[in-house]
Amino acid sequence: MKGWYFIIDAEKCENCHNCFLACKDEHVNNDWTPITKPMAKKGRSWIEIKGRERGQYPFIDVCYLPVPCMHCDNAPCIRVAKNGAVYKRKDGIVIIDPSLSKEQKELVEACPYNAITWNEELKIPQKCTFCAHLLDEGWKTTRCVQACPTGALSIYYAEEAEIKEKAQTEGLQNYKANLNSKPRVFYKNLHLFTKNFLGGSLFTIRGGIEECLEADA
Amino acid sequence: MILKNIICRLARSERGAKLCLKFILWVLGTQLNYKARKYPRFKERLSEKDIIAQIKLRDNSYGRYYVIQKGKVFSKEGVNALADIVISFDNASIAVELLFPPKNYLAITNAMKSFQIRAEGPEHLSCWFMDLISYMEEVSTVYGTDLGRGVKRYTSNTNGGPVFVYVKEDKILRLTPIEFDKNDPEPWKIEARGKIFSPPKKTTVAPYTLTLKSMIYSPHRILYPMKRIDFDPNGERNIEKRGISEYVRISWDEALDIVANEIKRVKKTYGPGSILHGSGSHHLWGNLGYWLSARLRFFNNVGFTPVAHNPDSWEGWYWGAMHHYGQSMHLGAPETYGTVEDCLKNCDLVVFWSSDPEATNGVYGAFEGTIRRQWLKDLGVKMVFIDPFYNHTAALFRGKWIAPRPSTGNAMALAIAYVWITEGLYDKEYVEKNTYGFEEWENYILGKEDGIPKTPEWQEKETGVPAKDVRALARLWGTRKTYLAAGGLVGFGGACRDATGTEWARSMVCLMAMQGLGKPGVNFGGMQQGTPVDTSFYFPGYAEGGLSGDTANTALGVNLYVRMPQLPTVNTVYQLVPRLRIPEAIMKGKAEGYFTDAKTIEGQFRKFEYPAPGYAPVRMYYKYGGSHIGTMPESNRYVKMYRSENLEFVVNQSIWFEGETKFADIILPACTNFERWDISEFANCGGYIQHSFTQCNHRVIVMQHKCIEPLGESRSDFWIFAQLAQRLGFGLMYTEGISEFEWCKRLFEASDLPKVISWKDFLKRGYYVVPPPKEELRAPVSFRSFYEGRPKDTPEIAPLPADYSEEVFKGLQTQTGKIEFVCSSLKRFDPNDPERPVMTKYIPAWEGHHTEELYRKYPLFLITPHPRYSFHTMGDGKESWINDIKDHRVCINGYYYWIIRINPKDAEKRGIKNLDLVKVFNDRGSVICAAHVTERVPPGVVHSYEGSAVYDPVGVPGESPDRGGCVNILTPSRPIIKKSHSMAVNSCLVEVEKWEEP
Repeated sequence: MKGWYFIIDAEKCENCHNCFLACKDEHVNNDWTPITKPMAKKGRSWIEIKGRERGQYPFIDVCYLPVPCMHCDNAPCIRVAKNGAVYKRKDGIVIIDPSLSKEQKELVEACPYNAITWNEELKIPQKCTFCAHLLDEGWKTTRCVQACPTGALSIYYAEEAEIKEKAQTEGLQNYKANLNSKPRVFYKNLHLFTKNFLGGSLFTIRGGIEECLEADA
Repeated sequence: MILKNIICRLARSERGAKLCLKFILWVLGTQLNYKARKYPRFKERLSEKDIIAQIKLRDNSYGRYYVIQKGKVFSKEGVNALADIVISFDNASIAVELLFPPKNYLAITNAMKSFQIRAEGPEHLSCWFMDLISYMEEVSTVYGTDLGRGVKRYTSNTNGGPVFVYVKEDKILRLTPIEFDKNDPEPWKIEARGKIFSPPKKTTVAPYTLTLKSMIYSPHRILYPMKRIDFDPNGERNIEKRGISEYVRISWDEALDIVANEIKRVKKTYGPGSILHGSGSHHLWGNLGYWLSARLRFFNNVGFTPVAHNPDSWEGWYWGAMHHYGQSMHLGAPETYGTVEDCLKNCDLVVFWSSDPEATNGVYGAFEGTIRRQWLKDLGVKMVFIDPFYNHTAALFRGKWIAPRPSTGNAMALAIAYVWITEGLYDKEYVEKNTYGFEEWENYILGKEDGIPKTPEWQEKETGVPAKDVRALARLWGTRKTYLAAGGLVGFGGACRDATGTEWARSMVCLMAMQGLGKPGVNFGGMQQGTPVDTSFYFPGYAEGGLSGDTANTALGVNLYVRMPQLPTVNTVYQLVPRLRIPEAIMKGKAEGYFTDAKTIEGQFRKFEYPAPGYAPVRMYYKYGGSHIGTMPESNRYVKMYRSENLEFVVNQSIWFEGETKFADIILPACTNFERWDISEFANCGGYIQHSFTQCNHRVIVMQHKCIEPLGESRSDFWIFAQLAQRLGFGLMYTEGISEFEWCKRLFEASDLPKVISWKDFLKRGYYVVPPPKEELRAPVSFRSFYEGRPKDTPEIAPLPADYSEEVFKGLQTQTGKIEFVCSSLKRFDPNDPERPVMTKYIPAWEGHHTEELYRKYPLFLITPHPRYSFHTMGDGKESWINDIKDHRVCINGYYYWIIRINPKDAEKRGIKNLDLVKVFNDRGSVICAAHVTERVPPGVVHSYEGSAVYDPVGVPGESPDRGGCVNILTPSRPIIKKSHSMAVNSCLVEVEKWEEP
């Protein structure tokens, strides 16, 4: 069965927050029931950008990791939810039902990716819907992907076998894969965020003067 | 048009003309009733007033009058002595030519100028009647794309790119970038190094554009005219309460009457020049509603002391670099035609020096340049980033980072020249042929003049950058074809706005001269500007002045005036106040500045003084928006100024209650450009940034639909000015009797658009993408002809013909026609100016590590570049979603604090942890910020963006710490060099300490 996947390239994310803002633009003050109710006016969006600085001045690297809901195939939130308030659609998208989930604050804690937010005004947990209301209307993409200027974010509609093969050939990885929640978000260049960074410059002393060995670091 | 020709031929005889006129005037009456029957909105408009309007010939030989009563029109032939208003024509043939559609605006303008058409009666009634007639077309206009289920997709344009606007029931649902469809042209292709590059068929948007919905519906919108509660224009004004007291809602009539009466009062009491008016450098996008358009038309007719702008983002390029290679028409920044293609094909290395296009989007260019820089990376082109801050472009492209101490950049540049000279790594033939005065500068570099060779070791003491790194950079650069991206757009950059800004920008030109500016692969640019789009297709940029009628202070006269004839407007007040000295002008009654005049190099040598001889001092300040406290240096001055008794009246026309808006006596609520009509092009400025749309991958011209009705009682600037104009006797002169919608159509017709798309289709679709030219017709590469010794061949009349020393198009704008290491213009102006020598030298900053006493007291260098997420103050504060971006503001205990970035070593010394609240201070003031502890700034440097829209003093305004984040409170107001009108905000020493909320 074909379903939706995010493919996110950590190397191309520049922290511009267009995804974060497009998500707010789509959801604040707009009611897309039954997919979701309006997002809280203030606070974080349903896609978060995590940042990591590695190294020390003057050798540093900065990496960003956009983190939406992982739309896990083995989703902890679905297990925790009461009354079947969280469900997975046939296309793989995980949806928190806005009426059934009322008062279920524990769902926020259930997500190991911190992807679920609490709407204090409406007393409901909320998260990224993969813009299901738009895809259902015939849109070809989500708001965050459409607004991304670098190509860091993309979506992919495929069979599970296809995405597995793609992951294999292109070196795509899940974030926190050890949790075994089977995320539908695959990252390229995830090592920039999860591994250490080694930087420096090589120089020698020639005639009492320091000289770089390579012109570039 | 054919029909009109026949009618006009018929109207050549007096009898024929009268026959036609009779018919036209009869149709007008029936049309008014027809529109009222068909469109309830027209009926509503028609019902606003009961009047008798007369249209007639001046000799009373023919006329028809219209009795408008209770939303109905009854018209009758003849002349009615009881008519409220009378519109008369000199003769019937003029009347026919002017009234029969399609309108001939040249004929109308000529008739108005020669008084062949006149209006009598109360201004507000004539304006209302003419507006009603203009509204007939607008009301029946179908625009936008119907998406079903009550949703319409409109188009608009913003400072951060054009957008689709989805609207349902007068509410904006969403804003998205524009994705092209099959009707739009195929983009350009560039073949380089075996690969083909072509941009995607869509536009990009900047972050602040995606936050506009939250701004349009912000709780900080001003929805009604307001009066400071303790301000009485006829009694106590309580000036000392500005910035403290609350406001009360008043009616539009009351507000407009107060403002109009104050204009009359100060002019009559004090004389010409007593009204000061200024706006920010930027406005909401749109050619007609722009500050260089609707605003100028109004104030020119009032007579005012304008606030003269400094070349704010260019500074060092304007006051410095220009003297070496001209480019005055670009304010000293280099032209960039054809550079995207040249860079892709030929360049091996790009040096980004004080350049962060991923943060600043060039200017208005959204993320159009990002993909092009990604192409460079794909091709393996090396990138080096020189900036005291590890900026966002560096972070994305991961090149070598070199961080000189702020305000010392040109020491490094001189050391690079030293390595090139001593190791023979420059183009001697080019220097010989294309430059002037090199030997003299070479002597200075080598230390023959002052005994100090400008070695990499010498610069290390100034910049803190190891000599070996500079030597390595010089060798890399000197042996590879290199593009220099000095500033984000090129010709910008924080380094041009510090105490050594002029010398830094000058040294950038000198370095490029040594490497052969214009050779294949050797030029200015970082792929931000210079795409192969069609520069010949005419559509104006905002600096062409729209409907301003002002050919002196905008670029209207260059192209637009002849294409869109209009009533000219002239300000008769020859008095100016330099923007950076407004507080001194008000409080001390004295100020001086130098002109920002792009026409010629020598334009900047002209000094002006306030007060100007024979003019009145300023007594009234009409401010547009509220940005200065966040954007101008040492900005507590601006706060204090508002509380000066010398300012008897302050009015602020603003969309949001922000910054300095709250210092006004009367606030007039303007609406956003989503609530009114306008027309514009993506990133097209025109004038001083000619062809700036070459930042974009596609030329996208946009109908800015009126997407929703204005919120509350807010109104367009055009409407506000038109209402005031009526009270000052020039209502019809202001509008020319047509609505904003009709002005859009008029501008459309003045452009090349009618050749390729009908008005109707353009209105419906909302945008037009100009097809790229054939490869053979692309603009040539800038400076290539100069390098090859050919006449200039890029598509611009810059420099102006008179500025060539020999033949027009031969050489550059300088006196020698060459790149001058020793500047002829400075030799002529002031050869002994120690602050701006005739050739570029290292002059230590007047606020920096050499000002030892101050440096001991305030040991941290504060740099305040243009912000990343907001556009100056646009998008900040106002409960905008941008506040929730944790690298823009940080919410601590419910308050959104501005951010200052500090190195861990400096933070540790001061006991500061990440996200602690800190007080940043010096002798000029203090600002409360949240600390980001980060390795992205070196020890000794702190970084915080300019552009806070929030000014929130914890105590007395102007004298207490600001919680809002206006870090410009801390920056020096001293100009870079005395003989300039410039800011040096990036030379600022501060101390930082932990701060506890009281």
